[in-house]
Amino acid sequence: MMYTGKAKELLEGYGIGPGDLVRVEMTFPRQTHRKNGQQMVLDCVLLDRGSRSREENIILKLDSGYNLSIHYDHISNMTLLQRTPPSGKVERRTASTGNTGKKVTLIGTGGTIASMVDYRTGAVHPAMTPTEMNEAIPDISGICDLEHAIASSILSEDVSCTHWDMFTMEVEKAFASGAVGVVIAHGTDTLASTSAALSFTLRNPPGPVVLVGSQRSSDRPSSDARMNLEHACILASSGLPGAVYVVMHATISDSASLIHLGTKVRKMHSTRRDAFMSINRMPVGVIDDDGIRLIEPPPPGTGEFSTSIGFNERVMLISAQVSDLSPLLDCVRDRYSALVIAGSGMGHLSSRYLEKVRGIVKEGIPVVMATDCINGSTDLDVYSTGRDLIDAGVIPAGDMPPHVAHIKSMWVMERIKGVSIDDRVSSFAELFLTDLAGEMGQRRTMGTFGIEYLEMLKGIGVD
Amino acid sequence: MGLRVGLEVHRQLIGSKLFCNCSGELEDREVHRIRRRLGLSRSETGDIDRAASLEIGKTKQVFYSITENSCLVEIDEEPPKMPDRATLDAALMISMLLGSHIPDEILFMRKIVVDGSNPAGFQRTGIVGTGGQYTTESGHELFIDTVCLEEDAARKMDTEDGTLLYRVDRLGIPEIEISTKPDISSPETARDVASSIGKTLRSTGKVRRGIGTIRQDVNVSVEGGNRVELKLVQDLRTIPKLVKMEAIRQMLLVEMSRSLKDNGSPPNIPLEIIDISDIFRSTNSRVLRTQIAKGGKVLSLPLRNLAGYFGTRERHGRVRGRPLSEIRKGIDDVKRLGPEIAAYAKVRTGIKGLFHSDELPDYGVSEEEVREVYSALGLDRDNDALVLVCAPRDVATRALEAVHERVLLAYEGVPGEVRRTLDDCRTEYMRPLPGSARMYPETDIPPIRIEPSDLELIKADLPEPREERVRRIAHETGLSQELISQLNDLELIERFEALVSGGGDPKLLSRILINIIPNLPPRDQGSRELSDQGILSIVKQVSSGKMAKEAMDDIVPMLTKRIGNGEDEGVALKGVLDQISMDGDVMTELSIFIQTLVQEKKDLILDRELRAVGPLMGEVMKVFRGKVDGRMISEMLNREIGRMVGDR
Repeated sequence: MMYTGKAKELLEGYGIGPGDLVRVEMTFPRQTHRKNGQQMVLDCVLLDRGSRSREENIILKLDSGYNLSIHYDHISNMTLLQRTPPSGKVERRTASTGNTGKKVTLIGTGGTIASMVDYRTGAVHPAMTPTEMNEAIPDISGICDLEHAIASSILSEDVSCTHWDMFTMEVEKAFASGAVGVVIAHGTDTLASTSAALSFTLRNPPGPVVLVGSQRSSDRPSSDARMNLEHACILASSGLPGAVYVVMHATISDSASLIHLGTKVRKMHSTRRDAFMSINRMPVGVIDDDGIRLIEPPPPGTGEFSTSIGFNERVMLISAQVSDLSPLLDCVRDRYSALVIAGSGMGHLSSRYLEKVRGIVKEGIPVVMATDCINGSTDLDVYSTGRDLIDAGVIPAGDMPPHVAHIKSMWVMERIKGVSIDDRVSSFAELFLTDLAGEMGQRRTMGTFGIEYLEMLKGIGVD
Repeated sequence: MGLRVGLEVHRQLIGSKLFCNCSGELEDREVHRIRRRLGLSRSETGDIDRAASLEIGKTKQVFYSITENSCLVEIDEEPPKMPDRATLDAALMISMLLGSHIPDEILFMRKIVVDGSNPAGFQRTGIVGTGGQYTTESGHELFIDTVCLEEDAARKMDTEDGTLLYRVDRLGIPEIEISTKPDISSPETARDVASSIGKTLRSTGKVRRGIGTIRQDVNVSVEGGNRVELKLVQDLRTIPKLVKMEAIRQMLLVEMSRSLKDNGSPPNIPLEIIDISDIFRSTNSRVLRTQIAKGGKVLSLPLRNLAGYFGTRERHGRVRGRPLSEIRKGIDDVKRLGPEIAAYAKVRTGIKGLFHSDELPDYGVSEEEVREVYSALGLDRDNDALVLVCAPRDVATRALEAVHERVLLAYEGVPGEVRRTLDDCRTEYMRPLPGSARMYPETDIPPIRIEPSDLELIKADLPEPREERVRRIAHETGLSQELISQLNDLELIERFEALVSGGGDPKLLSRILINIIPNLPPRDQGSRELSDQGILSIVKQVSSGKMAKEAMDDIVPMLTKRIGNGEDEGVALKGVLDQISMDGDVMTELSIFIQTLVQEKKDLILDRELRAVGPLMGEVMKVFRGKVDGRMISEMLNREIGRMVGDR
């Protein structure tokens, strides 16, 4: 239990623990405003103490449902009425597997979408099982036959390269067992990183692999998890070309969601449910009550399904800052395998670092230049700074968002790990500049940015 | 009859919203509209609140109208911010005034509310005081259960197409909720207690005023009954009647449960739902025809041995075999099981109505059809009842299931429930009483510590208790305590004190504040704007002997009328005073003359009302012709006569 010190001793003395129904007699001392002290007797349930409550306090759940925090000094007696009363009858909807002939595997990884409030720590905690999640999507059985797998139970900020490998293997297993599509429930913080990573590890997947998250935990009536999951299942069982997708709310209404391509999407807001936006590309499509409407689907893959796991974690992503980057660049040269710079504008970095960058490349460490504008492409031919960087051996990332350039670099480095230092940069460039999963856009059309983006959404009936 | 009443008084606090920095002023202009679907969720104990589950079914679609005074917090797109300290202090002050114990740590909770009034699906609320004892003005010893600080909900808007629409401008306005113990034993005391709590709240100067800033929920139970919460009582004066009506409703239900048990019909009524659409293929009932045309089915639920329990219009007021005249004294419309089952079916499925056998034949359903139904179901017309619902099959089935559930509850007496109050003091079922499973911790807001030093600071700021203040001011001004009490009750005491310290004569000030301003015709909007400076100028005219005090009765309306017409107060005041000083004595004389005349001619006035102006005008003109403008005489006469007629 979370109680400590005197409070713990007191509870142990009464032989009472969290969950017990107790009669608590309280004597409140005279408070500033009252003439006298006050006596009170309450029948209530003892709760565990939250980590942010006073250490001297005992937390009680009143009959009304309110929690009350009481200093142990004010408790004059406690009597056990009932040991951990059984919770009321809960009518649990059984996880229906459906009978649509379209098997979809739901892989739980953790994150808000699978979260419950942890009443011990008071924080939102990934705890929901896929069965519980299934319960949260009432009409899933009409969409697909859902099967569950749990790959992890972590918040997405804790996702590492090892997890990406694990998720890849789970997806492989799912397709091997006959799934037509896969849904991965993931925390939103690094969801777009995982979607990019899986876009590289899953070569020519036979069906849609849909990453989905939620910005409001499933334990609140207003959660966006229900619609996101439902729409993810619709996409996974849709027969759309095999690729990695992200499905999240299109607006802050619970009316439509957008399908984003896994390598061209980014979380652009810390809290809103429509936080995810397609970058430098139209969304793949929209899903609402009428089903899927395609806008710009990826071309169908050619070739056999295979997986290619493994990432080099020694790849650094930095942004072109005004402050002194020299020590950082030295560190990269000494301890990292590759460097991705989110440069200013079209991909610039102060000319004072030019020689340092040249030195890094000479060591066989590829240096990639993306743009910290996120939207738009790099172009190192316009200004002399850019031309100098090209001359120093910097590789432009084109319109890959910085995080995608970063993850692709990590993946490419692992692919060329046997190559000698002398050939490393050129081998890297060759693979890095090959479009593998739609990440290298060749043209940037209207409608992906600014007011046109909003008009595009309206145009496809998103309100 | 063992009446027990408890009150929940809700009152908005001043300041910005509780969990964000948006303004607490209501705002009508919509800047955006969104659509949401609310779903169910479990409490920390893993339970689902029954009331919530009944209300929401699977999911529920709600529209929100977003206004300028709202941000991402209201629409659940951003976590709440820490509550404003000043607001919290105001809540603690109210807790102090009610003698409640203030916890040393405030825990905010999420109270599941799935009617759509909160986009998050819950309302944030925290206890700021427990227990407490407080003596009302009428001397009633009142026991407080809890004092809570919570956020107000969004406003429900009318829509033409029946969709649920809420405006979020009100959402998040801080609100104090005071729950008394349910030990109030008379309807009138309930009203007095509510009124007294209201005054205490206003005395802090930290609560909002005006329509919609205050509401009461009233909990009522009688011996053998159950707690029923009557929601949203806006007008205190209706409380006694509401309580009485609810007590009678409960007594009738208790009576009915006895009768049902005596009746010998077992409470294990089978849930048999039978399709009798065929009988109504060519019915003359318009209601049924419309529904059938839309694909509706006529389903029925037989209720053996229950004829007479649902109530016909003629049979209102009689529960089988027992006259209830002693109970229903003064109540002309005693409700029976009919409305109760109809409300259950309506809330659960949205159907507009149902038919029960006690009211048939009616509504276009013929005697022949009724007979046919009885015979098809094998029921006995004298003893058995049945309920008909016409709707799509699944809806009708759910409606009859709700009816069945409510009929079974009738054996137990009074179901605990929340009821909405209607305009005519009747009430209507809304939902079952929520259980404790509807509450779970608001983890986005850490526990807020309250230190003894915080309480010291608030105490230093407490308003003076009413009695002490009345005694003190009476002593200081030489006015009667009664007069000061009156000023206090009109909430004019602060203004009065300020005016006195501004050099105004207390007696003259009290006359303006108590007798003159409140009696101004409502159209003189300017009266609200009359500044302290304006009042003081008038009073000083009298004190300095430039004007008789009787003339104030006329000066103030003249002044406010001018202000109401858009004239600047300073200019208006000068104009009026110029007029007075020019012929000040005449004005005073005129004022006294008219007041005396009106009293003398009371019979004439009460008989002819404003038509009496003509003859009286002549009398005044005889004396004042050439001295005062006839229009002014006419105006003053009209006012005095209007006042007399209005008082009648």
